Amino acid sequence: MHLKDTTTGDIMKALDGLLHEVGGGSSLALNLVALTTEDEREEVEKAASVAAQEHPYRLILVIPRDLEATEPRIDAEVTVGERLGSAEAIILRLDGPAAAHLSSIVLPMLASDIPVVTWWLLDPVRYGLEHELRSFADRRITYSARAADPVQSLFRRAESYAAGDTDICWTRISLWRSLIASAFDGVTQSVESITIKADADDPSAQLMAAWLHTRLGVAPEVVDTEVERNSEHLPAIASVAFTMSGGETMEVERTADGTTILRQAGLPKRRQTLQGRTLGQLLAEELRHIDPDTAYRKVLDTFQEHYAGIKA
Amino acid sequence: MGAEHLPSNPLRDPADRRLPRIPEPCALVIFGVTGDLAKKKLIPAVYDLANRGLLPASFVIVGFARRDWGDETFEEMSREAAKSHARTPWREEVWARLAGNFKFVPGSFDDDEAFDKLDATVDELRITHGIVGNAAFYFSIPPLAFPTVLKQLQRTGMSDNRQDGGGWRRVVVEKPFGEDRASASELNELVDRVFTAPDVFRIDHYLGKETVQNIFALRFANAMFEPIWNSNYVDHVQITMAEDVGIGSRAGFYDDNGAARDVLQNHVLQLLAIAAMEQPNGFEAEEIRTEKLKVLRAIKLHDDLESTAIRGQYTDGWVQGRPVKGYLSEDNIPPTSTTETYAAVQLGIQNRRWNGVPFYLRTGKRLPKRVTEIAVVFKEAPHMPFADYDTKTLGNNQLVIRVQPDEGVTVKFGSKVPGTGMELRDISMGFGYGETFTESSPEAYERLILDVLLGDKTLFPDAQEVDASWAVIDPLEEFWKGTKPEPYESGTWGPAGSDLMLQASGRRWRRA
Repeated sequence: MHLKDTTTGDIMKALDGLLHEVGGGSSLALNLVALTTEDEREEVEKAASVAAQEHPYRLILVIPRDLEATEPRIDAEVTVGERLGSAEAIILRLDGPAAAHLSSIVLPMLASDIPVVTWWLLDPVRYGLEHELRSFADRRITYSARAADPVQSLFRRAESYAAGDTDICWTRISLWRSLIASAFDGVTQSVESITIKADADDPSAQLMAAWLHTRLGVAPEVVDTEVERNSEHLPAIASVAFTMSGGETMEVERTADGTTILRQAGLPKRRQTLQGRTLGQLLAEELRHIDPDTAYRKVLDTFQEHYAGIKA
Repeated sequence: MGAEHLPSNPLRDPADRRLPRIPEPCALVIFGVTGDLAKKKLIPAVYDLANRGLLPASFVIVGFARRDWGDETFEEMSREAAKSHARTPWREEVWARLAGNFKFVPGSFDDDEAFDKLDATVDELRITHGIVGNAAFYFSIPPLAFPTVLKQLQRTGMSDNRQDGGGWRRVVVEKPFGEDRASASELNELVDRVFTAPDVFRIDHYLGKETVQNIFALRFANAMFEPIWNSNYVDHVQITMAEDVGIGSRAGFYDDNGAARDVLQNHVLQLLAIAAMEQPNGFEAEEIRTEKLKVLRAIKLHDDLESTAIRGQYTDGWVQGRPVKGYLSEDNIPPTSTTETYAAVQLGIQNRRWNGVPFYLRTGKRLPKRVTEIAVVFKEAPHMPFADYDTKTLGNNQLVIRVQPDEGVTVKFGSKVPGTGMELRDISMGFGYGETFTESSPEAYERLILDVLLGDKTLFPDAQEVDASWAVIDPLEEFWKGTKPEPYESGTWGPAGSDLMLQASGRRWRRA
């Protein structure tokens, strides 16, 4: 249902009407407020509909439109269970001063009691909206790889970190980390040195280095390497190699097609598959945890502390 | 849970909840790998675990059965099985990761040579596949074969790895755990001796279901339910486990056992234990087991078994629009069989919390639908400021835990019908897992196999629980001996005697 030059009251009335038609109460787990542009809208909607299968939420998609306009104007689209999967969705296009007063529009639209997660692919600093979005969110999901200077963007995130912050660049190394952690089960020796072959401009590679540094107390050497990826949402990491105190080595290496080899001294080489996940799957993983990710916090601290050294 | 079994790994941080718990390198050895359970549940569950990234890098499946197969044939059979029965989408690259990790050892259970070969195969995997000696043995075989296989495992030393280079050895057994208290105790004694008690995992797949685990959360993580979860507020509890199917191809096994041994002894009593137990001190396996055991041991049958222990047997009828045969006309069932396909029983739990609260349990085949639910029915409100005619359709408040299908929780309470009068009616408020959380929760076997490999026993009943459950069932079987079950028409909610059991105290079965 499309509403032109409308008000939040009319939007909510339209949503209630649609929910009534569908029948039955809806049980929601979350509010998801996503900031996007018309160009990215389709990508965001697709990801949101995938994640909605796992986390039924009320989606509020905010698209700042004509920021030069002098009169505030809200156009809205309200859907339930259509192209956005099972989610209740409100798509807002905001003109002029309306965009700058985002929270006055979004607050009355949030479903009560349940957590609010904000998510943006683009840099809200561009719209001066970061503060507005922070004001009501329990969790904030960013994607620093999408920024013009990804590592710098992550560094800014680290500086302004607040409990509940997270970044898709962290989400997308979960499978890598899990594979490495699994290889360390049963290993009794300590680690002497670590070499990561990765694209040094990828925030995920930096987070990988910071994670290993945090947990193992050894600063990894990041060897800047061009990495061929078969999915946009993969970290640009080619291999992670460890040298143990006994001189033995262990290495995890991923080739462009996803085949991942684990070489461990004294054991036959083992083959795994590591594929990129879709943006929707990554978003779904993010939404699984609603409390602040303290493990990420520690890694981000290490990243911030050693950032200059690694970047050079 | 289970963390104590993992060696300390600097990369694992309990606060880092994105890193899944992944078992140590190991082998899963399946006896009876050509059977339905292995094909429809176990192998697909292994694929689903691989798909979710929950298997260790070194993982081997070893099949043992009386077939003239090589490793390749076994792998191909497993691939077919996983492809047709897996819960998660089929991805060739996930399978590729498992490929090459299938071993098959042909042989029968009394064949010493075959078991020697199995022993050698598992030992070789230590080197060729890096499983560091860890292995779980899954008994997907008829209970009669248990002792033979156990003795083989003991003879070859496969059940105990301490002398032999290290690594854990675990055994997984499926129900039935015996057919009465004496035979169960014999079996328990044998399996606990061949392995050690902590290494024995008895699977009750109901405990792997998300909703059953959610009973712990519902009761012990909330403030509003536990205060009324006792005889002050609860009138009675009904536990229903109904199936619409008949006995299928299990005629031989079923006719020897019947509904009470097949379902009541394990699934239903476990549900009762979890619904009625006291709050455990922690969520460790041992602490939960302690509380479950206390409840199971506090169960007391009614003195008058004649009217509180009801058996039924289905006759010809219609189920879901199709005509079905009665039990006595099923293939391979003797026409004189007195085995029950329905059992309902009233129990009491002798502790302070449940003093005087009857628990009604029922299970049966060829009932109108497949449903498993625990219903806590509350007492009537003590004072009604409303006229009788206003409240005549108002029933007791009720909290229903829907275990399957359509997992969730429903609360029933009275509400005013819109209009000018003060007419009151029951309404129900529901929470559906499928609506609020993930659209597909893991299969019970996925969770349980993972727990076995992780060494986490929280969801597995132990020998003492099995013994306490048989102590409830044995007197029933004794009482029923030589009697004929009451017939009930297929597609109905069981024999009339079962309804009378509740009517005697002015109650009735809820329509599940």
